[in-house]
Amino acid sequence: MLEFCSMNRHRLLIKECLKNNPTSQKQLYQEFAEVMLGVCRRYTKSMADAEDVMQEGFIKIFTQLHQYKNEGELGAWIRRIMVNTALNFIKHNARYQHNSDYDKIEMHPITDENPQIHLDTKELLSLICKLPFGYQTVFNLHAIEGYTHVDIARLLNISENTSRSQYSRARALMIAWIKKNYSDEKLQQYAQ
Amino acid sequence: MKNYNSTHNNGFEKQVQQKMEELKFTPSDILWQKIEAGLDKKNKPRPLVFIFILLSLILTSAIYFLYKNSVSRSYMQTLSQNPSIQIFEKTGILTPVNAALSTNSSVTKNNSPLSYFIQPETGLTGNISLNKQEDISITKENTEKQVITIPARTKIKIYRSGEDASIVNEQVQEEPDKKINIVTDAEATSLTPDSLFIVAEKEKKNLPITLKEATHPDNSDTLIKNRKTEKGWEWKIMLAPGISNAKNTFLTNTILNILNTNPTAQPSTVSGGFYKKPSSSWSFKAGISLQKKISKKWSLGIGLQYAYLSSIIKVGKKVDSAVVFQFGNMLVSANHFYRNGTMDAYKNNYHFIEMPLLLQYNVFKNAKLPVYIEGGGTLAYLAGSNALIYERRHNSYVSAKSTFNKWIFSLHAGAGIRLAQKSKLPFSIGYSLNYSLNSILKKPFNNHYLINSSLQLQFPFKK
Repeated sequence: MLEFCSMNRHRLLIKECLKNNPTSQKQLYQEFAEVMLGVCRRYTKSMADAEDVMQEGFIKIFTQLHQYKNEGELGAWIRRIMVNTALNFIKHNARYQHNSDYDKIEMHPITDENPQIHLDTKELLSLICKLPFGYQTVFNLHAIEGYTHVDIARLLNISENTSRSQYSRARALMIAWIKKNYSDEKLQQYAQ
Repeated sequence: MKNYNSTHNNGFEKQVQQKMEELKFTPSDILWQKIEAGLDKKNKPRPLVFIFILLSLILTSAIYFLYKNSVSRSYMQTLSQNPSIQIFEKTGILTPVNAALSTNSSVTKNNSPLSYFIQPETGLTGNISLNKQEDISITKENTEKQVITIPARTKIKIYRSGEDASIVNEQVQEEPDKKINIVTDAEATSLTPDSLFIVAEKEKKNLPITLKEATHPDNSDTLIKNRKTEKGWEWKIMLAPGISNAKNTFLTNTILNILNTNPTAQPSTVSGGFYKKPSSSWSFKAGISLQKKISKKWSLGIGLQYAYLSSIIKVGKKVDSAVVFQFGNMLVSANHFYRNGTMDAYKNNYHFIEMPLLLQYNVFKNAKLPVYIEGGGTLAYLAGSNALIYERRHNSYVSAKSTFNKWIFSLHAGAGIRLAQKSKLPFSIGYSLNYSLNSILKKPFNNHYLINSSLQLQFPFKK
């Protein structure tokens, strides 16, 4: 029932947004902004970059809102646009093309472990942001968004094997860091 | 999120997913304003694109008309298929005839038939100039060929002979109601009544040419129309003193406000821009333009001019201190600024290099006061400005050139009359209005559309 009410409310909101009603547009923005900023932050290295991505993402959302056909949740549709915007940002931003991090990072053996994560949300984010650019993106897309390696390969224009390899290494790194139980000092070094 | 699909055990990934679902951050206050500004930019019509298309269409049409009317392709049309001379006025005596003269088969150019047509200009009574670059040869019809060459730009007169008219040597005596004797170099030639002939005057020597005798159909007052002759380019010097201002509303909103209706488009309300509305100040434009006739009533012109526009704002005390201001994402440093206030009047000056492209329509071409109306567009480049921008955080005014749009498109409309056309210094005087289609200030500042109203003086001279 609640879900139905929410869908109905979104439908009305979308209708008003399509009429370029500024109040409705702001309402839609306020409903999803905090979560979407979190999504953008996961793909970028700073809050400033995350806000830039979100700014561009919401402009796309409002200009392409007529393409939303009420198939699936509005939040999921918005999230997809936001992720695509983040991927475009990474692709066209020179700062995110630098690959020297791969050389500096210590390598860990690939593992099937599933350790318990005792870190809070922000601490976990800081570990994700600590990953090298390519690993971070693949990890976000596979572990969190749930894309298959075939989809990731198409999105990032890499091979499926590269996607699998990068994800495995990212996963190994994350688990190693979690198990090491990073100190607050080191976490704050990478957190924003 | 998508359903997790992996060959790995999904315990770790599931935990990561669940924790990341809780990840939230509060965006900065200015972020929504930036999104709003971005949406305003996308939702507003793009006048630059429309102007470009309009100017391209005008230019293409102009090139087409100019090509069609080029000298090598000029041609004449006559209303009557009769190759005989059409007489505008029937008289019984030898009088100057304000006639349209067609010499279809009797005019040759380099021995090839050429249709040629002479029509008196406004105000002339029988005096016609041949504006051709080449000499025109006229041969007599139905008799042995008598080729007389009329040199280019020869002033001629058309006469219609009455009774007892004859051609006399070197002299034409014009005496109304009396016989006129005109004699050729060789011998006196009697003219049959009603024959039409041209007398060319050059170097005070008459060159009588007798054409085929005119026939007189009942509709002999039929005029030959559709004359198409080539006119050269006309250069003009333009001076236009006037007044100018900067408006917050777009042209359509200004018109709608005048019509007292609710405008649909609202100006941007993003922070920044002038705190108080400026008031009008004087303007001045000077330049040259090139105009070409594309038809009987239409002309196309293009020009290059300098334009000075200004507006006045009220500011407070000047502070000679270095400061850094932030406008949106831009940081501007300044050596001095002005406090907000109404102490002093400050003139915002704008210097433009403009290129107008205008279509002119002659409303009453043949009247004593030929009136024209014109319309078109102007592309302007902002060469310099000292205009101040209001900065909200410091509540001050500062000069920030990086906030200006360098290229401005404007709509132009005007009307005027041509005076002293027969004198050595003809000129035209009129009124013109220019309204810019894009704001002088970049986003996210409030829009400022420049408007200019001026008295326009033009001094043409033939090329």
